[in-house]
Amino acid sequence: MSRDTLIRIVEQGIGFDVLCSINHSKYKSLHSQPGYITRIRFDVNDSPVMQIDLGPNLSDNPVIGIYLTSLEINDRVSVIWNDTFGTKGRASTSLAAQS
Amino acid sequence: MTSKTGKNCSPISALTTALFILFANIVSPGTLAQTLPGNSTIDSKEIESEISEFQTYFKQKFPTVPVETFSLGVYALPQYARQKISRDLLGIIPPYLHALPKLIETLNQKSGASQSIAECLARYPGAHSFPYYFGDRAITTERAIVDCMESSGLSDAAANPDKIAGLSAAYQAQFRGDAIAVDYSDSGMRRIYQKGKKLFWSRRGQHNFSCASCHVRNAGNRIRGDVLSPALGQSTSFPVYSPARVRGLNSESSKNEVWLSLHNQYSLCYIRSGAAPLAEQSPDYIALEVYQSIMDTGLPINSPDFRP
Repeated sequence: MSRDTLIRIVEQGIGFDVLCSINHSKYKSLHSQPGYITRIRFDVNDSPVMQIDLGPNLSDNPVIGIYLTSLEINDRVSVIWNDTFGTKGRASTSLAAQS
Repeated sequence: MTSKTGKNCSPISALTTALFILFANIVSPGTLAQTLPGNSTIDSKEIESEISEFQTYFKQKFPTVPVETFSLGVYALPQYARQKISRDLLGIIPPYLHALPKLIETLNQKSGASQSIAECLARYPGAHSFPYYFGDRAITTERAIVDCMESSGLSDAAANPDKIAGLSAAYQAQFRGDAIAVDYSDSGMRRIYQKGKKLFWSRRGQHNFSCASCHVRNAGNRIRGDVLSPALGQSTSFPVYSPARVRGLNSESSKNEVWLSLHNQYSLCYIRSGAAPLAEQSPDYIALEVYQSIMDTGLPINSPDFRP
C-alpha cells in the first residue's frame, strides 16, 4: 500500500465516517506548473459509491471524507485518485482490518 | 476634599491610588505569586511544592479540564471547544502519519557495524525522563539524537534540524501516554531548573512580555484572534507537525520542513514578544525546557502531535 494515501473508517452515529488523507503537493519545484488532483473515487467491495471531480482549488495534502450509512465488518473500502501529473494513488481498508 | 482621618485628599491622589490598585491587580498573578530565584540553591521538596502550586493554579483556573488533558495544549480549553471538533476529526488520520514510518525506519537503520539510533537511545531511561541530566549538562531528546547520530556515523544528517525534530517525534511516539518524570535529584539539574524558572518569569523584548505573561496569567484569553495556551502541558506535545508554523519561523525554509521542536516554538514566542530569538539547544532554551518539563510532571506524553 502506498504511504501517500491513508484511509480510516470510524463509527459515527448510525453510520461510518470514511476519511482519506493524501500526501500530495501541487508543485514539484518552485517554478513548475501546478498539478492538482482531478478525481477521487471511493469504492465499497470494488463498486463505486462516490466519485469526486476536483479542480486546482484543492489544497496540498487534502483530507477528504464520506459518510456511509451501512457497512459490514468485512466490506473493503477503497479510495483511488489521480492527478494532472499522471500520478495515481490507492488505499483500502475494512473494519476487520482496522480492529 | 477631606478624608475620614481629617487629612486632605486631592482628587489627583485618589485617582493615582485607584490606578495603582488597578495596575497592581493586573501585574500580580494573585494565587500564583512567583519570586524570581536568586543564587541560593533549591532542594527537591521545594520543587515538589512548586509543581503542586503550578498545577493547582491551572486546575483552579480551568476547573472543567482534567489535568491529563492539558497535554492537548490550547485544545484542552473550553474556549477552543469549537476548533477541537475539527482537530478531533483530523486526529482520526493525523497528517504526520505519512512522515512517521520513514522516520521510524531511519531510527532503526544501521550503517555498517555501528548501532542504530534507536539502539543508542535505549541507553536512556525513556522519553518521559528527558531532559536528562548527565555529565554536568541537561540532555534534551534532540541533543541525545544528535549525539547518537554522530556515534552512528550519520553526522551529515545531524545538520538538518527538521529531520532531528522528526526523529525526536518518532522516538517519543513509542512512549506516547507515559507520564513525564524528569529526575531533578541532582543539584546540577536543580541549578538549571532555577535558571529556567528565572527565564520563564522574566520579562523581555520590546513588548516586555515574559512566558508567564501570556501562558499563566492570560492563559485562555485572546490575543488578536488566538486563544493563549496554558503553560501546563506545553512540553508534552513537542515536536509538533506544523508546516505553517515552520514557515512562520523561517520564511526561506523549504516546503519539506514540517516539524516544529519546542526550541523552535520558543524562538517564535521570542520573535512575537519583540525579543531576539536564541539558537536551538542554547543553554537558555534548555533551561526553559527543563523548567517546563518539571512543571509538567505526571502529564502524559502527547508527541507527535499536530498544530495548524
